[in-house]
Amino acid sequence: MRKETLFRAIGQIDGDLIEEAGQKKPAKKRGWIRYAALAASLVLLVGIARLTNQKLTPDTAKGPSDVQMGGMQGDEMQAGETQTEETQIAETESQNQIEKRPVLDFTMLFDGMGFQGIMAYEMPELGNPWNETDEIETLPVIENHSIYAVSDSQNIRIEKERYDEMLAWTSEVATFFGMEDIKPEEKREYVSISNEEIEIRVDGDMQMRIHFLNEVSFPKEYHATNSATREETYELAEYLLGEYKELFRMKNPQIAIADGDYSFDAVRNCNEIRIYDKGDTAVETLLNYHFEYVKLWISNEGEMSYIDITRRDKEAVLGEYEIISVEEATKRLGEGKFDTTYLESEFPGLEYVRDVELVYYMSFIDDYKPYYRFWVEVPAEKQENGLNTYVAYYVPAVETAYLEITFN
Amino acid sequence: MKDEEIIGLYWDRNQKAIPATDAKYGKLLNQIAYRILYSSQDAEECVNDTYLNTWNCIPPQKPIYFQAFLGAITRNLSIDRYKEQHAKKRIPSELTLLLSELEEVLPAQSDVHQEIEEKELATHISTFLRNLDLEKRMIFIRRYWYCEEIKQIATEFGYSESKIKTSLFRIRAKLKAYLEKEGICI
Repeated sequence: MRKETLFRAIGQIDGDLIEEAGQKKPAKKRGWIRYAALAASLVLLVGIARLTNQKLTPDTAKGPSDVQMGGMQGDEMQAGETQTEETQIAETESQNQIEKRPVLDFTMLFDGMGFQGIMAYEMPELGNPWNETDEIETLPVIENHSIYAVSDSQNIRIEKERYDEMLAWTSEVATFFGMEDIKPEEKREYVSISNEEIEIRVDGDMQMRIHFLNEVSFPKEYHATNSATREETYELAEYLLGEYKELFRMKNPQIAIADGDYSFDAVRNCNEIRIYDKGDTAVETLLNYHFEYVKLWISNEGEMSYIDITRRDKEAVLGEYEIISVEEATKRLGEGKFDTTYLESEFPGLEYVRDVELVYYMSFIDDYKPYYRFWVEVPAEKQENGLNTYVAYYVPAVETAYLEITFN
Repeated sequence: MKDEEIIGLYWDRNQKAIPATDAKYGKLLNQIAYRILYSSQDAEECVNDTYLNTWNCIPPQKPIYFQAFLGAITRNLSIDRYKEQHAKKRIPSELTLLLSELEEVLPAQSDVHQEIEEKELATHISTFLRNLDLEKRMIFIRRYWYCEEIKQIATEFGYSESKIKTSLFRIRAKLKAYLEKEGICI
C-alpha cells in the first residue's frame, strides 16, 4: 500500500530531524505567550458580565497578570531543570507583561489557496457597509448557537421549535416558486423541497439555499458575466431584488457589490452580490450585513445558480464591549498582535496594508466577535503575471476577544 | 542516563540496558504505539518487542540518534500489528487519519517507473524537510513521525487546530510537488 510505504519511509528520516522535532517548540520571535488555562477570577468576571449584560471596558476585562500560565512555563519546571534566579525573575516579569495574542478558529477558511486571501491586480472593493466615520463605540459579542457549536458533529441536534421554523420557511419559499403541493423532505440535518427545476434546502442554522438546477438567465439588457463593471452588476442586482424581494423579508434592502477576484491563471471571477437590510443605526446595519443577508451566485458565464439566504441567530448577546479604534488596531497589527491563516512568510509591514474592515468573524464554533480585518499585500506572493495576493490579518476589535474564552 | 551510556550497556550485554531504555524512552514509545494502536495492552507489547529488537541489533549497530532509532522500531512494529488487527475488524486510531492525510502526498504514477526503496525515499523526505523552516518541520514530524494529534500540536505551538491543519495541508502539497519533481514513484 503506497501510503503505508510513505508512512514507513517517514519513520526512517534522519535521526537529528526527529530528535530536533521532539524538543520544546522554538520560542516565537514576537515573544507571544499563549494562554493554555484561564484564571478563575477572569472567568468569573466574564461570567458576571454575561449574566448581567454588563458593559465591559478594556480596564475591567483585563487580567493578564491574574491569568495562570500553563503549557510552556509549567512544563519547563516539571522537566526538573534548574533555573537561575535571574531567569526566574525574567519569567515572572514576562508573565506580568503578557503579550496578548488572538487565536481564531479558522476551520471555515480551509480553502484551495491554503490561506484566506484575494488575488487581484489591485485591492478590490469589498462591499462592507462599515465606514471609519461611523463612530461605533461598542459592539455586542454574540453567543454562537449554531448547531455545529452545540452538537457533536456526528450527532447534530435540532430543537423541535427550530425544525418547525425550517419547515415553515421552506414551505413559504416553495409557494413563491409554485411548489406548494410538493411534500417537504425532512432529514435530521435539513429540510428540502425540490422539483426538476429548483431545490430549496434549509439547515438547522436557518441558512437557505435555493438551487436553480437549470441556471437562470437574465434579460439581454443586463450584463452579468465576469467582465461586468460594478455599475452593471449593481443594475443586475437591482433587477434581481425586484424579482425576489418578497423572499428576502427586508424593510430597507441595500446592495453590496464586492469586486470579483482572480484565479491563479488570471481568469477574473464575477463580482459578488450581497443584499442586506439597512438598520436604524450603523451597528444594526453591520450586524445585518453579517447575520441576515442574501448572496446571489452568478457564474462567470452570466447565469444565476444559487440564492443563499442567511438568517443567523444574533439575539443571544453576551455583552456590549467597547471597541478599539482603527488606529489602535493598526498599531497592534504592527506589533504582531494578530491572527492569520497565512504562514508562508512574515507580516510584510504596515506599509503593505491596503484596506481594513470591521467584521464579525463567523466562527464555526466560537462565539461571534468583532474584528478588524486588514487586507495586506504580500510581496512574496506576487505572481509573474502581475497578480497580487492580499491576505487577511485579524485584530480583535474588543479586548476580550484576545482571550480564548468559551462562553457557556 | 546519556544515550551513549545506554548504548554502551547493550554493547556490554548488560541486563540493565533495557530498564535504562525504558526509564528514559518508555513513555514516548508507549505514546507513539498507542496513537497507532489505540490499545494500552497492544502498545505495551509493541514497546516490549522494541526493546527485544534493540537488544538483538545492538551490537553490531551503534545508533547515533537513539530516540529516533527506538521510535522507528516502535512505529514499524505498531504498523504491522495495526494491519494485523485491522484485517480482523475496524480499529479507530490516529493512524487511519494519518494515512488518509498522507494519501494526498502520493505523487502521480507514471507508466515507466521503478518503485523506490523506503530508505531512499526517507532520504528524499529528509532533504525536503531540511528546506522547511524549523517550525514547519517540527509540526510535520510531530504529526507524521510522532503521530501526535492535531489538538496536541496546536496546544504545544500556540496555534489553533485549524491553523495546524492548514499548515500541514500546505506542507503535504509541497512534499508532493517535490517528490514529483524528483521523479519519485511510490
